[in-house]
Amino acid sequence: MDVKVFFYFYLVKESEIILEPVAEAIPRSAHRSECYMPSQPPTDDELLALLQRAPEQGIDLLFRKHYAWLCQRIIRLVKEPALAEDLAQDVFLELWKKREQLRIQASIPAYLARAGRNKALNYLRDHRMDQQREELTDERWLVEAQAVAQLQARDLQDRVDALLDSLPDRCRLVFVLSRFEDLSNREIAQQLGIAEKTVENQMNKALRLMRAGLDSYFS
Amino acid sequence: MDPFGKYISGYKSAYQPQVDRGLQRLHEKMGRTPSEPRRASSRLWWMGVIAVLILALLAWFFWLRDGTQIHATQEGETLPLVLEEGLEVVLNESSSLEFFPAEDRLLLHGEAYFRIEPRPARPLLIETPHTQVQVLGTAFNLRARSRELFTEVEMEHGSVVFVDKNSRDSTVLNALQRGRCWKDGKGMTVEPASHGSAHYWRTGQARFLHQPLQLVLREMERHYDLEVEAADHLLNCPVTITFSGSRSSDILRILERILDAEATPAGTKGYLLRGGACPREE
Repeated sequence: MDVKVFFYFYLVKESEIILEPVAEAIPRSAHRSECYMPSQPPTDDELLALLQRAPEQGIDLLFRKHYAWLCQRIIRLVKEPALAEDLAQDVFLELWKKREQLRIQASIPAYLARAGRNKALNYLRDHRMDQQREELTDERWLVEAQAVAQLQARDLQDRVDALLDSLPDRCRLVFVLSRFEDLSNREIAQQLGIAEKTVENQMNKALRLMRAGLDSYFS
Repeated sequence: MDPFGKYISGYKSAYQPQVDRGLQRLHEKMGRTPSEPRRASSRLWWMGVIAVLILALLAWFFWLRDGTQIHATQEGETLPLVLEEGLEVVLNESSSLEFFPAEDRLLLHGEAYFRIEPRPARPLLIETPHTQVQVLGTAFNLRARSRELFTEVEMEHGSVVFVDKNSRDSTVLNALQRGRCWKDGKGMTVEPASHGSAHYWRTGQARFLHQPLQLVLREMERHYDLEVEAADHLLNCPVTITFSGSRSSDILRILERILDAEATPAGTKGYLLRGGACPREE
C-alpha cells in the first residue's frame, strides 16, 4: 500500500490562514534508504519521502531544487529581492515544521507556488503595500516610469521590467496575479478582497499604462 | 502588446537569488526554537513599559504620525542626516527637507547633498518647487534656492533623471555633470560639473584647473556674495585656482597677481578687474 504524505495548502481569507489538507500517493521506492545518495537528480517524490526519513537532508535538497524559481515567482508580487527571499525561506520553514503531518495531493512546485503566493499576499495585506501610489495620474506615472526605465534599462527586458515595477501597486498586483499566477478575475477579486469589476478596471489600466510606456519608447 | 509578450513573460526572470545564502538563512530560522519566557520582575517590567511609552512619545514628536520627517536649517547651519539606511543627506543652510518614507519621496527647499545607496526596487523621487529628480542610487548636490533663476543638480557619481515639472522635459545626468533647469522657461542645460564648486559649502574646497575667468567669477559670486566683473579681454583667460576656506579678499589678490590686473571697487558690493592680460600657458 502506498505511503501517503499530506500537505497543507494555504488559503488566504480575510485575516486568517486556513489550512486545507490534500493527499497524493508517493511511490514505495522512495523509501529504500534513509540517507539519500543520488546517482541522478532526485524526483520530488523521492525528496518528499526523504524529508520524512532524513529531514535535514530532505529539506536541503528540496530547497536547492526549488528555492530559485520560487523566489523569482514571489518577487513578481513583492518587487523587493530581500523580501522575496525571506518569504520563500518561510515557505520552506513551514514545510519543515509540518513535515510530520504532511499529506500531498498536488505536485511540489504547485504546492510551493501556492504557498509562496499566499505568503506574499498576506504580507502585502498586512503591510498595506497594495494601497500606495494609487493617486498617480497616467501622465505622472508615465514620466516617472520612463525616468526609471531610462536609468535601469540595459535592454528591452530591463525596460519592460522597470515599467512593470513602476505600475501603481494594486494595478501591478492584479496584472501579476492574472498573468503569472493564472488566477481568474473572480479568484483575484477574492484574494484581494475587491470587486470583480475593480479587477477588470485594474487590468485595463495595467495594459493601458504598459502600452503607453512601451509606445513612447519605440516612437 | 503582442510583440512584447515574451518580454512581459520574462518579467523578473533575470533575478537570481543566492541559494547558498538562502539555505544558510533557512538553517538559522530552523534553529530558532521558541525559548522559555523569562519572568521579569514586575518592577523591571513596569520600568520597561514606561521606557517604551517615553520613546513612543518622543518618536511622535520627532516623526509625524505617518512617518513623515521634516528637517530645517537656519542661516549658517548645516545638518547631516541619515533618513534611513543607505539614504544620507547633508542639508545646507536656510533649507528644509521633508521625507515621506511611505511614498519614497523627498521635498527640498534650498540646497542639500545626497548620498544614496543603490535601491533599484524602490526608486526615490526628490522634488523641488520646479523640478523632480528620479534616483536609483548615487551622490549629488541639489540646489533649489528661491532667489536663483535655476534649479541645479551637480553629480558626483551614478546617474539621475532630472525632470522639469512645468514642461515635463527630462534629461539623464551622469557622473561629473551639472544640469540646470531654468525657471523662466528656457529649458534645461547640461555642462561639466563645476570642479567641486557645488560642494564647496560642504567640503570647503573647490578647484579650478585652467578654467575661464568668467566661470571662476560666477562661482565666487555664489560662495562669497561678492560681485566681481572683469574687463572683456580677461573674461576667457584660463585660470587655475583653489578656493579652500580662502577669504574673498585673498582670492581677489591671487587673481590680480595671476592676471597682472587691478581690482577696483565697483558698485555697492563688487569689484572690477581691469588692466593685465591672460597668463601664459605653461
